[in-house]
Amino acid sequence: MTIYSLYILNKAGGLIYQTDPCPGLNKLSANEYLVLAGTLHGVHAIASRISPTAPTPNTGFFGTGKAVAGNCNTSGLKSLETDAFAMYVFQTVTGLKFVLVTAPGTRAQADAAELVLCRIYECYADYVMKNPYYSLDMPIRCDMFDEKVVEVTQVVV
Amino acid sequence: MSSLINPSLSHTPPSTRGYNPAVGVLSNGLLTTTDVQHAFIAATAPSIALAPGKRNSMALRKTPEISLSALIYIFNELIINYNFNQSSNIAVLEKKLNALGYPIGIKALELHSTRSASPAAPETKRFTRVLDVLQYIHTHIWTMLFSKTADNLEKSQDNADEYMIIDNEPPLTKYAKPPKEFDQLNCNAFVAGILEGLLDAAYFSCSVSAHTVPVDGFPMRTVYLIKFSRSVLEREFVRFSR
Repeated sequence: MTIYSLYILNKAGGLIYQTDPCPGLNKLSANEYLVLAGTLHGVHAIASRISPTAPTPNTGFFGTGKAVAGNCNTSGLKSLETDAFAMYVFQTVTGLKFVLVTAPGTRAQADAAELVLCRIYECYADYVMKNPYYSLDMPIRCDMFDEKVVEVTQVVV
Repeated sequence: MSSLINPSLSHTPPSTRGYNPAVGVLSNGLLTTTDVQHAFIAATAPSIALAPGKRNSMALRKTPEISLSALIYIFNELIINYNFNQSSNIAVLEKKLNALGYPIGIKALELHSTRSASPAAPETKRFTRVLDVLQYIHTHIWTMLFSKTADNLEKSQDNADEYMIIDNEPPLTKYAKPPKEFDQLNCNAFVAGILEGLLDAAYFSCSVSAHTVPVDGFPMRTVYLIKFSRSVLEREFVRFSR
């Protein structure tokens, strides 16, 4: 699985982290990344409302079903597949979104992507939330988190 | 309140330095007398009874462990709210953290002595030599505080009164490195305060500071620089140089 890009969105849809583990990709401008993140946030919110079935508690990865934010009654947008790339979204119970953009792949890759997102969430919990110099919902600038993300994404590349 | 701050014997005017048997260690140079009196109250106040009726069980357990995450969250809030916003510079913040650790050090020495006593040997040893007490900290105190021993104990080559205890991965700063604008800050000043309180209570007056000396793979490797006061070294010389 080739990981093109990783985005982390705060609960308001602001982009707080973006990295391209795969070298040689064209970069967008900073503003374009923000627009992309905001759009994705909106699409996700719409997707969580247009589910044809009745809203169920968000079981997510941990199946807790409690402390569910208002806009995640359903899991919303979980993955997006195109000919050029695949995108996997993982939303935490607090509304934080981890977005992974990879090369298009099979069903097995979706499972692998879920695992990667889980590992990155773990790193976030450890190296961002336990960092006293980081303020919540602001862009992440933590050296140790950067290193860990590289480690996690290198393993699967 | 004044009766709390001045327990029984403290009608004698407080001196600024030294050890008063009624009040304990009087000053480490960083703290004002009131700080030390507060520290004394904190050190002697009964600990919170976690299980009512079994008050002593927590204190006497051999390996009472707490969650590192919970500890780090509390410690971080301490840095941010209690100190970060109210300190004019890094030195002041480190001084405050040091002062916070100081009373814990006094308690840690008592607690470890109490725990290591047994019915056969109810009185534990008091250390009289610098090296002995440092080795005791390096192995036993570190194990009690962090469930591991410190990684190294060194004597300074330049100064006879300086010793270093080295921890490759200090648990309190395991997950965070200060940003570039606070490059010199090492929040293990709190641990340095613990060591300082402990050594003061053990009659080795000194000052301890924490410094970040990173090596490959250990970005937060911390050196605790222990600088003993002259009287300690003179005492050591008089007693043990034959």
